[in-house]
Amino acid sequence: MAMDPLEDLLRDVDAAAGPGPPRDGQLPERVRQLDRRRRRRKIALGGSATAVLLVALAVPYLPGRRDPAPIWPPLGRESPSVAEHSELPRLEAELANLESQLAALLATERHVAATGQLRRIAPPPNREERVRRQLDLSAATVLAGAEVKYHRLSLTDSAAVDYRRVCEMYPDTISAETAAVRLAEICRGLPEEPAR
Amino acid sequence: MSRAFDKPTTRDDRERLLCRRIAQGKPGAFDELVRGHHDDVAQLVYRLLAWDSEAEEVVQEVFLAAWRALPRFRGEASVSTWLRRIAVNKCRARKRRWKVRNRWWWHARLSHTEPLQQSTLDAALDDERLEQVRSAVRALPHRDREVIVLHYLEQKDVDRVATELGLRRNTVEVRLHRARARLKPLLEAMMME
Repeated sequence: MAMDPLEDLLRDVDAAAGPGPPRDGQLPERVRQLDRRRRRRKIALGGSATAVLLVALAVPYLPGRRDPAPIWPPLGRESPSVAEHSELPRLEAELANLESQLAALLATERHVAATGQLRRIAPPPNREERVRRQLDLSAATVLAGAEVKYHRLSLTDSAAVDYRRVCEMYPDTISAETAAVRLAEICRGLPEEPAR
Repeated sequence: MSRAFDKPTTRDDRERLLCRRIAQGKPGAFDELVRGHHDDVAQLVYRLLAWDSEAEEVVQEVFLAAWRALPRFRGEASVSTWLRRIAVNKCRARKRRWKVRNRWWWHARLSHTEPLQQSTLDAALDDERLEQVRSAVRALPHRDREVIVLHYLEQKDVDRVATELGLRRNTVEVRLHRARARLKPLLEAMMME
């Protein structure tokens, strides 16, 4: 017999309560049926929820539901009073004035936009300077290619062709002076200054 | 020479073979599982619910959960331990549902619980005493009640209780101590009677 009084007490209660729910021969089948029923219910619930969601998402896109019906003023409105009648010409004139102002503003805006585009396309005031810079850049590019051929790749003949091109096509540029020096070197076969 | 595990000799081996048969969908295998473990599970559930009449429903839920989880059963624990763990979880879930319902309804249910016995005056006094104990056990937090039931009524040692509940030994001892402390006033009152 257990010595612990608490254990004795608990055992007494347990004994008085009995063995618990009796065994039921139908329990396995009941479990299987319950499982099938709950799975079907779960699928049905899931399908219903999906259907409701799809309908809720599709409702705004149904034809004829985009634009709500316009709310027109009720028919049978009272005819304008005498005071309102006298104001009408003034209001119409004001409206016409505002519309003409708006049209002028729009025309001005279009003109400004077109002018800006033209300025971008047309040559700037200091056109000669820009042309000269472009020529210098082009000459320097050809010269750089010739320098690489002459100093690094030792392609003297090809470099000489490029140097001559610089002198002929871009005569008044600094690159042409350099190209002339290089051509003189090539002709003499001796470098006048150390290669960079 | 046949391999040792071709013929199941221990109870656990027989149970694992049974689970394999159930996972394969062999007819009659689940029925065999229920037959073999129903009494054990039913008694455990009945005790964990403090001898409540809803135990039958919870037992059904336990076997339903087992039916669904059998294909995933890896055999790391014995089948009985696995079923008992499911039973403990289902009892906890049932207790949570009771708490969510109105407290007054829960107390009303207490008063409508079936009496333990119908008997003479002496026995009726005993019934009242036992009913007090039952109410006190029911009033315990379910985590403390689990360790009380498994240790005292299921006769499991602390290590076994820890294994079944998935706890550390220290935690089980703390809960046992706490449960005893809660039941001590009742016990002292009864000893004085």
